[in-house]
Amino acid sequence: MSDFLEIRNALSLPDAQDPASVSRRRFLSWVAAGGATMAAGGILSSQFAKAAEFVGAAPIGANEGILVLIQLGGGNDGLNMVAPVDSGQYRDLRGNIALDPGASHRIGEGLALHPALTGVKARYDSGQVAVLSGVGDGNADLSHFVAMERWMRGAGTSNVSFSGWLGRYLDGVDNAADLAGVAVTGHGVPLTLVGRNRIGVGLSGGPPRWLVSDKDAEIDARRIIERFGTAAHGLGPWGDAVAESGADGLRFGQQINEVSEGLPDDGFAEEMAIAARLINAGVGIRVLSVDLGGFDTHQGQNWRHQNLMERLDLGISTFWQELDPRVAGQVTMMTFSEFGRRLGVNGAAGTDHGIGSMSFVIGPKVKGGIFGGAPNLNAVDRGSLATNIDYLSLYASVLGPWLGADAGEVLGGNYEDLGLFNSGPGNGTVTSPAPVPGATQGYLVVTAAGGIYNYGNRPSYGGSAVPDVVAAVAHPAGTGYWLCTADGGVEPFGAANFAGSMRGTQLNGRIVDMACTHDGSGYYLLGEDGGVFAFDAPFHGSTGDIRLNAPVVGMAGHPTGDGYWFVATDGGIFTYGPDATFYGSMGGTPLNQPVVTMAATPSGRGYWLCAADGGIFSFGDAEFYGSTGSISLNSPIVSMKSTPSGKGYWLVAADGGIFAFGDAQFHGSAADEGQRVVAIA
Amino acid sequence: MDRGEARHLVRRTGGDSRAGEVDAYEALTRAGAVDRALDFGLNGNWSAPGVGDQRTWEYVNTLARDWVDRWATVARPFEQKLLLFFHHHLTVHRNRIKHSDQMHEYLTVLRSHLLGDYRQMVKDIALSPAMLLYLDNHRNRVGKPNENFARELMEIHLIGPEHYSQNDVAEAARAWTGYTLDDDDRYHRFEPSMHDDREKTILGVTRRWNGLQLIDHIFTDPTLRDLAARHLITRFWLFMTASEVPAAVLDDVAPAFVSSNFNIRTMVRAVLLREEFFTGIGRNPIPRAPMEYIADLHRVMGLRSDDTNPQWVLRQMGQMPFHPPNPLGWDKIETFISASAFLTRAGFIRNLAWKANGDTPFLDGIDDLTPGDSVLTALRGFGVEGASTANRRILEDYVVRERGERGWSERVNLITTVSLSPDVQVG
Repeated sequence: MSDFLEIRNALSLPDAQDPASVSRRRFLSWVAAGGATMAAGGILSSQFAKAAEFVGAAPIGANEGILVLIQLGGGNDGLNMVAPVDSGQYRDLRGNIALDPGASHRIGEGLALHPALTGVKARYDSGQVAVLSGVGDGNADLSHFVAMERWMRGAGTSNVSFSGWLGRYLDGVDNAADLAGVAVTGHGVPLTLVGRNRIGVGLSGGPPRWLVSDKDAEIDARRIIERFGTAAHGLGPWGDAVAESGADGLRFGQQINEVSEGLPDDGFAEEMAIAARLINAGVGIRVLSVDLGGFDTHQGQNWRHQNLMERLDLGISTFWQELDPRVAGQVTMMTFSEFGRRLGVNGAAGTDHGIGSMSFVIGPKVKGGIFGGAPNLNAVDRGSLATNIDYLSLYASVLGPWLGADAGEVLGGNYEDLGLFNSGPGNGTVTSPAPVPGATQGYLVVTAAGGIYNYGNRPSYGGSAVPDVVAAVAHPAGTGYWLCTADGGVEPFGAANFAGSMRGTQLNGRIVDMACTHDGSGYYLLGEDGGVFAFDAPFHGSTGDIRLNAPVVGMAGHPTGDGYWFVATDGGIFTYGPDATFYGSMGGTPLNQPVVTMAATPSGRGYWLCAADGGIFSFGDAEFYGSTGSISLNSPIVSMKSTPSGKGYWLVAADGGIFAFGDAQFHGSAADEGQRVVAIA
Repeated sequence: MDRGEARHLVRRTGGDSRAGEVDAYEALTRAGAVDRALDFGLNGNWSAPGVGDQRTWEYVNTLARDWVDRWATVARPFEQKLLLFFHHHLTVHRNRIKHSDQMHEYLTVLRSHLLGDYRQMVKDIALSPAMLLYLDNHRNRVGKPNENFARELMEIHLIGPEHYSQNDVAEAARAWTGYTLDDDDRYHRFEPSMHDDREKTILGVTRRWNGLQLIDHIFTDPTLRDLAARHLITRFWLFMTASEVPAAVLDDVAPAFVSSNFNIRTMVRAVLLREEFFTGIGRNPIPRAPMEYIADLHRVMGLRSDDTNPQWVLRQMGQMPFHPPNPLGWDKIETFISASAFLTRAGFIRNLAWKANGDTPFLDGIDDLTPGDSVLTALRGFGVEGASTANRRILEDYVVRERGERGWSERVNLITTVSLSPDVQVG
């Protein structure tokens, strides 16, 4: 009989091996190594921006759900994972492989979790684990392959083409990022993630050991491959390309290997940690698939299953430890297996293929408890637990309420929603997957006193208690923002993090503006003397030691994170970093009113300058969409903001008046609030 | 024929490039050498591995292993490479096939026409259950036509895109209605009640077409048969040389192919005898595709698939039989040489090297030679002659260092690294 690996391979597509895929994997391996969250700004974050741009990565909305699917391959004995330990019938059926009632973790209704599931038990006690009792596929046969294919397809009718249920879900997500579906298995892309129009991404597993080992003989062999990479072979361009791909492959292997540093010494736990880090990176992941094989316990079930439960528990705990708590509310994990096993023990202290099994659905928004009641040991299908909860119902319960999908459409039929969630992802309301920039359809107006007025669909996370706010910047995810004060204080809200401030430090001048890095991992403060203070962000220089003709008033970060501009009141532009290019300035041109703010286009290939009278000066690919230069304003313009598309902008005046141009929509103004406004974000 | 040309022909036809075989080719004229490569009769008949109770996804592994073993052992390995070409050209995928037998039956059809009648090959494959299932023609019925097969027949199998209209596809699909399977989806059956017997207009001709008549028409109409000849030659040249076919090759070989009544041997022979193949663009070194590369390593190391299970690496490298990425067949050659593909290859090859080191006499005793001779012997063992000075120096440096520091890993490391050298991977 073929093992899980063999079947899984047969039900997988190989990772695409086109050149784009190489970059994508390199990017993924770097993200997985923790680069996205551990990088202290600097070079890594600019690499991130470039790679993320290349792979079309984009964060998902704050109220959109992420599913982590854990496949337990080989047919998990559900009755050994969650067992009616006090039932005499159970003890009779299971004999010497029955769980030890004293060591098992009771969860009510006469059920207990396997003794190794200590982490799951703790989560269960905190109300975050749904135990699905008797979940299965009543129409499956007992073949691993057929059963697994049916679970992966997840289709109620045979008219659904060769595709997987989560692949079809992703087909229906508008503007899904390139990395919306990722398999962290190292064995290609499982059918689960194969859609009709798109296929998930497979993250390579670890490199062959000899490519990363410390053994001298293997180091020497690698040295040969490396030297081939640059030698003159006389084999033409293809010979060079092949030799270079070897040397390149060695480096790639080393990079992937670094992923496992600092992680538990267990392949499954490693993959779970990587899964968490990929989510933390905010690259638009909606579905992750991870798997743990070896559940085909025909013999020696006691020790085999014990070991598997230990690994499962470690993997689950590792995942939640690695996961950034700020996104945890958007994440749910779910286990499944192609089938359960027989009620009775076979002659080899193991169990044979059956039907119904147990699944866990785990996450902060999950409604904890037992679904389906205690297993009925008298309702038997082919010698095993009958199906009590249809596997397609399980899928429907996740697709609709959690992923915001049309479950009937994905599954090709309507199935009961089991009500597995207390609330939807993020803030609690379930939203359909929306276009990625959805969260930024709107703006925040910030007052000098630290007040926040939110418009459109931009959430407010509260304001500052410290007055003399001078600037504000939105987190790129649209789920938070920072405020800064004239004395260099920084206040983060929502997804925004605190990376340091200048408060309490002697400054040469007031802080006048701030900008954050493209991925929100860090930020800059700008002093009126042109001094730049970088926090978890790469410092590219400043005019802090140059005598300026006019004070500096505004800054903008380049979208790659590799540079920034700032502008002085006379319209002079200062560029720093490799990507912030000079596209022109108003320096030396007489102005009616001083420049007060600037904004870069989303491409980074242009910028607007805005004067106090609302006059707009556009450079590079920034286009002019209108200005208030010719109308008489009640109070001067103080800040501006580009729309996500760059095809429009908002200006805000000191009295809270909003002026929208291009594709910027007017969602309301703060002109009636009687507050002094300093920024729009 | 000079030795360089002899080596080129041997390697490009998937043959054994070690000295003995190259010597034999060198002694012949180009024509004699090409005829030698095409002398498939020496290989003996193929006997398909038994199906037993293997399901399609198990049996496909058996067929992949068999493909490698036969390639590695027969006298004229070009047969296996040409079979791979036609499997690429008229491809099918395992996931649509219902019965394991349908896979070896499909291969048997290809083999039976491998150097024979191309028109008959196209017809027989069109009616093979594997193809009927793969491109959905078994569901193509009057009133509910399914265009999948009719489209690929014209676009991929016969004349190439841009030579027909969407209306031709729709009408051709009607001609192909009724070519279905029996109730068990096991054997081909023509079902008159499913066939659309009315008139259709295809490629400008109106009649009560059926499917096979359409194929016959393409092979007899002067314009269409020329397109069909050029289409196959274009794909074959690309498969053999990873380059665009020179116009002169098309202009010369297409009429000869047509006038031979589409005899495949005539076409293959004419292409391989082209000056462009021996001294022109066709001579440029190109990477070996996965199946060819893996088979060659098995041959030189004396390993068999039972010891190595090459099906996994073939799958990961993207050239698993019955697993083409799409109806166009295998990907372009460049997709096989990325850095991530290297990881797949390198892991498998290290295992091969340890197997060869432990279980075969391959390069045994190499560490008793001088460093220079050790390296030359290793390269020759893989059929590499005239490796660059730079590569020999790299390997010699290593051998000297190995002997100064350890002494036990020279053989396994040379097997590994020469396998992964550009000299072995490109040719």
